[in-house]
Amino acid sequence: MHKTQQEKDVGVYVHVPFCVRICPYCDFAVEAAPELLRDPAAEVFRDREDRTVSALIAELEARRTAFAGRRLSTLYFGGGTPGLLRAESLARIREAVWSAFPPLADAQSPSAPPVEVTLEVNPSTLERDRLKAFAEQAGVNRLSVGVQSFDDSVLKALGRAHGVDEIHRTLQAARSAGFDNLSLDLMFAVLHQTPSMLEADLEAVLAFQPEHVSTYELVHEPGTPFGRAAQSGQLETFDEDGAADMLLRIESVLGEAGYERYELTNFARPGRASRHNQRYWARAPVLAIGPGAHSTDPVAPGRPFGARIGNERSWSVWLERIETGQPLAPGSEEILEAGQALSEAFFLGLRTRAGVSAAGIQTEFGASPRSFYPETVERLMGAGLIVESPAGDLALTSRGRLLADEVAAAFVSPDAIAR
Amino acid sequence: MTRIPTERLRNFCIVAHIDHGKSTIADRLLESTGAVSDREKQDQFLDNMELERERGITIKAQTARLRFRAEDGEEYVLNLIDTPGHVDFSYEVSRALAACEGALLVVDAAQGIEAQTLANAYLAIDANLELVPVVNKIDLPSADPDRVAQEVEDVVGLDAADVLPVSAKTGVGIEALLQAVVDRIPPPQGDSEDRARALVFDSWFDPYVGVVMLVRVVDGRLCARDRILLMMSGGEHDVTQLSVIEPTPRRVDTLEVGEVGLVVAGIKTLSDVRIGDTITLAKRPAEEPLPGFVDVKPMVFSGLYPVEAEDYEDLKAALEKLRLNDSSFGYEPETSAALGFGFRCGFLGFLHAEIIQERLEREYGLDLITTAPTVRYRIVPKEGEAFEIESPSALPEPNEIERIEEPVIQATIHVPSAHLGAVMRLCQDRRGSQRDMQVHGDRVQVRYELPLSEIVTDFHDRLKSATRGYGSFDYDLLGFSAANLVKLDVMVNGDPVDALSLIVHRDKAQGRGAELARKLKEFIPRQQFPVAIQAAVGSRIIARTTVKALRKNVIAKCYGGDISRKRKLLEKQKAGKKRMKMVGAVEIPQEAFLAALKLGDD
Repeated sequence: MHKTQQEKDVGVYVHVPFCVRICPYCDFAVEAAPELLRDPAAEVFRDREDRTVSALIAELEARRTAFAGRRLSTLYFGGGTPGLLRAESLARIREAVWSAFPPLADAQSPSAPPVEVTLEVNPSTLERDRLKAFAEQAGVNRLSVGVQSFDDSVLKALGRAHGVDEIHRTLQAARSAGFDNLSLDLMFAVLHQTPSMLEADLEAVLAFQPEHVSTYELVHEPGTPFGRAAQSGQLETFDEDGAADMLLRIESVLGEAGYERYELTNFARPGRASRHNQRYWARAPVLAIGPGAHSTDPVAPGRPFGARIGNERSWSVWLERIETGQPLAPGSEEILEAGQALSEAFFLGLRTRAGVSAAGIQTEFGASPRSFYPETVERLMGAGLIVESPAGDLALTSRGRLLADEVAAAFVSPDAIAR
Repeated sequence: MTRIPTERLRNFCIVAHIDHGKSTIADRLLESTGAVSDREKQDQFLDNMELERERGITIKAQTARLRFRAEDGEEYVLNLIDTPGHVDFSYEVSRALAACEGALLVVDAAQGIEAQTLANAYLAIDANLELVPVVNKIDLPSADPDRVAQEVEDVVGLDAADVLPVSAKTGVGIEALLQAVVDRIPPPQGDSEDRARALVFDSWFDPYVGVVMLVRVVDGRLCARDRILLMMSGGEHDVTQLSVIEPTPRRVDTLEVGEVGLVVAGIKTLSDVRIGDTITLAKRPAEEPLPGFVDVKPMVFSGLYPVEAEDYEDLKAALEKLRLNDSSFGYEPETSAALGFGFRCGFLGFLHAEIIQERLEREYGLDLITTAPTVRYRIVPKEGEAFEIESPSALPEPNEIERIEEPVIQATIHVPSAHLGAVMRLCQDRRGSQRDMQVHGDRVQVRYELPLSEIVTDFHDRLKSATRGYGSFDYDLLGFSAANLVKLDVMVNGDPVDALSLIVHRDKAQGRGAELARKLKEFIPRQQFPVAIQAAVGSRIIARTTVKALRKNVIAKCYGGDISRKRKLLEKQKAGKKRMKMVGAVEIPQEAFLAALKLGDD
């Protein structure tokens, strides 16, 4: 996707906070909906669902003006577990988004790709039974399945609600429902996982042949049960060398099977990279709604580098604000400054295979990447962590991909200011 | 106010072990003689610095003049002279004692005699003071005044029948105590017509009037507007103020023989006045200064560095300010390749060093890195004259040295006999040799000769834990003594970390070196290359370990909600790196230095 095109269109992210239960490592904005465990058709939940959908649409209406005139490129239902919403609820949201922003592909430009509509689902009976309806009624054309592991003992230790059988049933059901763009989430360097357990996971992934794989290392986020356990010494941090070996192994197995590591944590078959997520690494505008969601507002007068707006994280507070017509997201608007934007352009760009585009930096900031970081670039190249293309683009080497945060920290402030 | 004749003057101090109630008794005396009204009364009037209250020790001597109507119906003036209460200030204590004719020896009715009780009692006896033994805290349920009185008789040699039972808390026995001061302590001697001699036993800096001297007139008299001569330092000054302390200062025209008071003479710097100096009149000077003056030199040294380089000027200003009121510590700029710009500071002893560091951190809000305390060493070179060094970096090459001498102390340790074994092991481990041992009931007093360097780090804490808090100790400096000492260096990737260099006994170099290397390894984060940590004596490596190269530093995912957060994390990471000290290409965090400098704590 060309950067200038992304700049002109819009992606919409919809955060649905509900989960039947909350995983002990999760630090997203989530809201437990345990009533669904007992009764998938619980009336109590129906009320929460309807009010949430109405509030999401109301928020979309309130925020859309900042993105006025843009065409829709992607729509992403994330969470939480957005698959806990009924297909008709997702359809209501989809319609609102479509009427706010006309899709890129229309009669005038039929060659543009159709809107990428992604839905995150977990392996559960409830969601599995709705897959067909999600496609037909809500126009979902990409599924991201929260697999995490193909080992029951790991799933149990992670506090996941599903087992391996459930995963297989959901993946098969997705194919039967006609989904030809599937992504699996896989965790590694997790708890008691051994190298041979990782091999088994990778075999299971390849046996299924998804179009896309996201791989995440388990992080003990502060404030989560795992974070607290780690802090009190009850949970050990995964050995650094072991995690590095696993990361290298994943890269090589998936690479050989035809998946490109197009971003540090994402692998895709050709043409199957997530168009929505690429917007984040390209710093392209994203309108995000729902509790805890973060929008990237486009460049506007007085905001030469755009703005980032974070929503209230608590579902009930968020809902009350919208239902009572209070201002959204008070106090969490960040108008980006040149230095911050430049730093983001580097650390986000370096996450991608394509790297930091020299032309892009030149256009946005008026000079080449090297001119901002002459010493840093030399030093990192000398250490074998980054490479520079003839055009001046900067990308991580394979060693640099293991030490990406070290590299990113070096680009936090330009050399001239740092000195 | 009418002048009280010399026969009705009494100058006395209180000596006690820490926490035996010296300050509470002082407060009670002030209160019951009406020197402090309830409204202005603080819990412990004489202990006026926050830090002192917490530690229960008195750093700066203060004094108070009490008026007491005795049983004979006459009014007496009792000058209570407060003495510094810890071992590093033994010289100052000796000068304060020299200003007195008597001392209250206060012993806790439950705890009995401790090391400091004895050390102070001996100091007072050496100063020819009349001792008035007092057993305090008789209100405590665990008090056993009779046993303690007997202990006083057995150990100090004062008649048990003369011991006064007191509770400073409830006030019981205070009146009798005041009467005993009048009855038992002799009035000052000396002739008011002699050439004036006044002993300076304390001084401090006041921002309005400059240096204030606390003096005891031994001979003759001082008058306001006299031109005075400080006999040891040689300076001449005009007296601008004379005051007595009641306990707030009250101006007087003269200080007569035997009296205690404040002298202000337009002196701008505290170092121009030395404790123990003699004031005389410039026009009609005394022939001899008062005896006992010693030029006190700092014995313990350590480097003080700001954690944040930009705090250097603040640290400098704070040191200047502290020195205004404490001329016993010194400092000079020092540069460390590892720690940047800082100061080499000299202290009277390790407790003094701790107090200064704590005041810098607490009162001035500074974050400091303190290098391991070291002592003054005397170097006898193969050629040339012997000299003293205050920093390991000043040590010449081994082949140029004939011998190194280190300061040696005599430690007096008082301990319940059950813990004697632990104390003896500790002292042996610290290269001590036993001098004598006396048993008093179930308590033992041992004397050890120990190198000063072996007690500067954590000897006191170790002694306390080896004796479950019941051991106490005091020390006197004996002099210098030759020892087999070497310089221990620490290197990371071949570059020396100057701040961690130490002078140690050869037998301990191996252990210390290994411990240093291990501590550093624990705190130096993995870097993009392997980091070799070595400890060396001269060119010989005695310990080595390696921090493996960093293999992975990449935090999982980064999507919309994470971008600002991630950027802030990176900013923090970068700021953290800026705070790290570079030794060669190796980034060393502050904690590594702090941990290495705290060696022996675990």
